[in-house]
Amino acid sequence: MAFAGHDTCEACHTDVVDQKKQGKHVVVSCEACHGAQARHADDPASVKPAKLDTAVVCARCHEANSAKPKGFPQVATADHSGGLACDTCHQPHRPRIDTSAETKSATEGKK
Amino acid sequence: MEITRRRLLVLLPAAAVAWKFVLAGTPEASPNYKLTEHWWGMLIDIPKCIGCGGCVRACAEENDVPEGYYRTWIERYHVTDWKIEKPEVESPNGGKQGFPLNQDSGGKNFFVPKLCNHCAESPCTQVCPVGATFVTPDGVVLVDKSYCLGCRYCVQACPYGCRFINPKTNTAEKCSLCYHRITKGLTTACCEVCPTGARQLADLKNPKDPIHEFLKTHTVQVLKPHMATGAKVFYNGMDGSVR
Repeated sequence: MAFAGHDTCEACHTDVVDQKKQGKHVVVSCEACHGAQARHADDPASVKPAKLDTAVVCARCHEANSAKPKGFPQVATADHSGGLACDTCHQPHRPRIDTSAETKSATEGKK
Repeated sequence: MEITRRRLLVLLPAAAVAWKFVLAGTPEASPNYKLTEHWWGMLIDIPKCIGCGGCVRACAEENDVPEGYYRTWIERYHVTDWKIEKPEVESPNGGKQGFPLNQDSGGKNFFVPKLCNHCAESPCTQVCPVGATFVTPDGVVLVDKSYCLGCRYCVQACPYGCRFINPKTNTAEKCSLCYHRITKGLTTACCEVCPTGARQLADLKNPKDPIHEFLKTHTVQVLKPHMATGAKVFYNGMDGSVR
């Protein structure tokens, strides 16, 4: 078994669950972006998930394509960010950019 | 042969070594799973599919699917208003890496994920000469590799093109609906990673499964209903051009 399932992830990563609850990515399973993590779940100390390249991972879903449902948030990344990694501005677990000072301090450094 | 204490001491370690090989050939045990209490299918919500290819990648990783073969794949349809019988369909690399950008050239564009339909009256099961492929009591069509001869009858018989011969094992292979996962209370790998909920595992025998409410309130369709295969992969919002 390669995929541990989101229940397994959420048992330990409760802080991320709380962050996700504040945004639309609450419905996205952890392994949809982070990949199969059963080995990490079996041995969290020695098997560490790789850091994701958000310029690639986010684009898999959010790159504009006329076949995607019209209501789904999509951008032409070349125009939208000019190749910058998405987590330069967006916090992937809670992607909506909120400019209020309070939220900024709460999410800072949690990319 | 008389079993003396000396002989027993010699035999015990040998039996211990052999036991792991016995276990290796035994299907994974799920002691709390009752076959008769489930009837598995899947719901595909086409208007939710974004063609990200996550399901294809997850399936390949979970089930060790060889490169270039697919147990599940995504098709992108392009249909113009007046050519509903001749849609343009593409599935580059099974949609595993997503889809290249296309210009919106009018008409309809949408994604259709496909997989084994786990037919209740499956043609592939009926043609297997050795009984290697079978429907489980909980409604999943599986292949027993140890019986499969690789004769390809089933590959020909499947109206949905869901089977292939694994080049490593030379046996028939197909979506197992992640049987090793669903019997442990997990969902399939493809449903686990689907970011929009376009794919949902459905237990038709479980009265609490949301599939029942969904089927009541939506217009769903199966692929090739005229084949009377008893397909259990239900498509919501499927265009008439989908084959």
